[in-house]
Amino acid sequence: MLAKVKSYALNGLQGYPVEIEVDINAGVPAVEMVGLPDAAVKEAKDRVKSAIANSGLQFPIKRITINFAPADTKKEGALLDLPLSMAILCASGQVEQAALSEYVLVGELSLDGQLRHVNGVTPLLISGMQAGFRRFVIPKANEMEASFIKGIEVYAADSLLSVVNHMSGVEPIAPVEHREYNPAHGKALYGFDFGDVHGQSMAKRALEIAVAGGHNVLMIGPPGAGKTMLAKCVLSIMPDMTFEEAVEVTKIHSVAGLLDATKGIVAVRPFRSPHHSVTIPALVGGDRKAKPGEVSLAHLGVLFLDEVPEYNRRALEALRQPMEDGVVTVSRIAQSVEYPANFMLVGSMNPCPCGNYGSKANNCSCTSQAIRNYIHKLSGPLLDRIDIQVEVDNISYSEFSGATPGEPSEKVRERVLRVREVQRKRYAGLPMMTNSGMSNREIKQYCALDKESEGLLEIAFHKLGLSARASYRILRVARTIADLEGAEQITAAHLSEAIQYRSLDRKYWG
Amino acid sequence: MSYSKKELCYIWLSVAGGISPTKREKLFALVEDVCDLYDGLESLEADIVASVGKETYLRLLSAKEEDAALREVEALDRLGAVALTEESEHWLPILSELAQPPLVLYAKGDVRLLSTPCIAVVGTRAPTRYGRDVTESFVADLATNGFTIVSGLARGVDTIAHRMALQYEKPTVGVMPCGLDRIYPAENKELYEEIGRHGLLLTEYPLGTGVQQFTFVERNRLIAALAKGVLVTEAGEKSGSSITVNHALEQGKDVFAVPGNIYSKTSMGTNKLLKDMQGALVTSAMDILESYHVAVDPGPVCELQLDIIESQIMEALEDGDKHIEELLALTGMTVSQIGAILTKLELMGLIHKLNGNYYGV
Repeated sequence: MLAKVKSYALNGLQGYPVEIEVDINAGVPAVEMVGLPDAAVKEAKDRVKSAIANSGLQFPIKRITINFAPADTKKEGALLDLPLSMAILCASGQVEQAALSEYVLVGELSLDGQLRHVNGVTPLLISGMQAGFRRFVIPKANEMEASFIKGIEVYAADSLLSVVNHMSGVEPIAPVEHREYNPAHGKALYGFDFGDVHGQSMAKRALEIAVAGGHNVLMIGPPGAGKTMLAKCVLSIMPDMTFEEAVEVTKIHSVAGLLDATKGIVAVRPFRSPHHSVTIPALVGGDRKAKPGEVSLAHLGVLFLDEVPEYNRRALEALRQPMEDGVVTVSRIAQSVEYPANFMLVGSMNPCPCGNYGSKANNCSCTSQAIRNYIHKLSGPLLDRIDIQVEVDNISYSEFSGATPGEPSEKVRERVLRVREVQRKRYAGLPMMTNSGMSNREIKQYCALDKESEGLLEIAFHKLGLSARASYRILRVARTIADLEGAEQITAAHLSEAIQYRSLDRKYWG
Repeated sequence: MSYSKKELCYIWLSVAGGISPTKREKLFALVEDVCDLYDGLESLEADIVASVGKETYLRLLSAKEEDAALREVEALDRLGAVALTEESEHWLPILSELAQPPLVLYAKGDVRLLSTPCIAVVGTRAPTRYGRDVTESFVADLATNGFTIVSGLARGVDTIAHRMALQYEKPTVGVMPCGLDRIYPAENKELYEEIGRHGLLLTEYPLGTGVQQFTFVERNRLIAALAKGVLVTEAGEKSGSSITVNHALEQGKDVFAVPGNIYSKTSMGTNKLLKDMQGALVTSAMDILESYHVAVDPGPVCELQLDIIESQIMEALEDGDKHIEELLALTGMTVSQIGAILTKLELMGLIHKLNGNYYGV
């Protein structure tokens, strides 16, 4: 007898339907699998056998042929366990084919017939929904993920037996209840607030500008100056994620298996800080399974690189494409997969290998050559994509009686939101969302300078020895500063402040 | 540029290579004039081989056969450089009086600078912030009061000295430890080019000569020779500056040194120098200018009109470097406003941004 069951598999974030056909014939008892199953799928036959037997059902002692259609794509992972076992049960007459036809099933089985958590349920359900499927059966452990997706009926089962009972109508499972999405505040994740940071006025202001205009930031300062804490504060001034954004991020985290099963959705912007020994595939995505890398996991959030020059040079260069395009293409043997990777880069570095360069208290023991080599680990093209460079101080603020108490993040965030809104209106219909995305054409249009400012920029180049490529970055940052002030026109004051955030462009660093 | 036969003969000796000053003296002992050596090279073979060895003779011979001097001159022309010998107009007599006089000086830039009053500024390759500040302020005052700054183009103090002079658009002479077509250290490429355009690059090595340990030492004697006095701004105990100082003392030049922190390793050299010769102590460029009886140019009168906040900041910074937090507390402005003002003051050339968000005048 022949049975067909629908399931879904993933290629990157895109799901595609898989049909499992099982044919049972008389003959020498054996199980044949065709349709490019990978190792995990091939092993399914042993899991399925035990799971069926341990659920009190019958595994047919006959010749079983299993086909995974479409036959030309490789099937991966254990999420086909459930549909496979249901197809066998159906083919052996233990479940009605008619009942099964409306469902898409996914789930991994344990030997005792329990359903286990699988990765990638969110993108899978969304693709299935878009393809017109309405009913899904998923493991109970993935229930939360399904609860945020409107417009489909999802049944979360805890075992193979409960799925069988649901299909036969003996004990129907109630569909997963829909939940409303509530954005979580960035502060909730780390509990860091700008209000807790004393002093560091320059750095805080730079981060405010960076978040407001979507600029990438590089913080330069000695170890222990608080760069990591400042970076974590960035989340607390970022806008909340909309539902669409949250789903986009959740898809990636779900595929990577990093989703918190108790929450089911990523409601707070991600903050990723890979260690400097990170490999290129781990950073941008890849390996045999084309998993999303750190740049994609940081999508719509912050990618924090502590001690940037310590990273593998080639890994840093690999960041250029995602920084430019907002997506990263991961190639694997048969096809390539595209993941979104639209993140804000926050980098930190020491001013020199020993960390004391320019310090008032300690003498730097580095030769100027060593400092130069250290700085030059960041290539020009990479620095081109980092609009703001700011120095972080290493001093105890008790030295200064008047050290400014921190402004709470909430207040800063209000300004950021206002500026984001201004930019949304300005760039409506254009590919960029924020000032950082302006190309030369938009810069000409939106960053027109008056006579005074133009003169200032020219003097700045001459006097401070700024490199030529600095000019566009200064203009972009000046645009954001003007927006923060609610000004239509960039003035000399805005430009002057923007020049402050170009430490590394000064010719005589090191 | 055309050269006399005698000059070409000097260049021939210089480019032949491998002829130490001792050998050179021995060669000159054989003949009356360098031209005789050139013309009669083959006939003098036996004498030359006996006095300086076969190898040197062969070098001289091949340089002569290849017309190396003419080719060197052509290459110099292409570079826009010239060769100076004691026959030249701009040659300084003191160069010929050195214990080991240079045969030829290859020069790119304004050779007239040689006859201006020069002061050498030398020091450590890894200056501290203090050394940097000292070098900058001394050079600024010396350069704006008519001194040409001579240094060795090395990392650290040398580089700072050259750059400061260029920044004030004042003359500077870089004495190189290698041929004019080489650059050492490589990162100073831009500096070389700028000095070549606005100052003077000088070396006693023909084109294509790379740096060697001894070339640094030889260069230092030239630095001392060109200058009226040598100023050491910051130097460690085993600094190359001590070689320059020793040469200067041998040549009867003045030596000036700036005292440093007694605990600082990079000031051990200067402090030791001061212990040995107390007359060398200087604490400002005025001390040097006075010793040369140079009337001090007060500099252009500041006609810039500063507003209240700006002058408040200027006053504060004149008391010493200030951190941006201190300036914020002092003025009560926001970081955004003060950032704009600081850039303005910096562009006016009134203040400097230091590392670590410090500002100073």
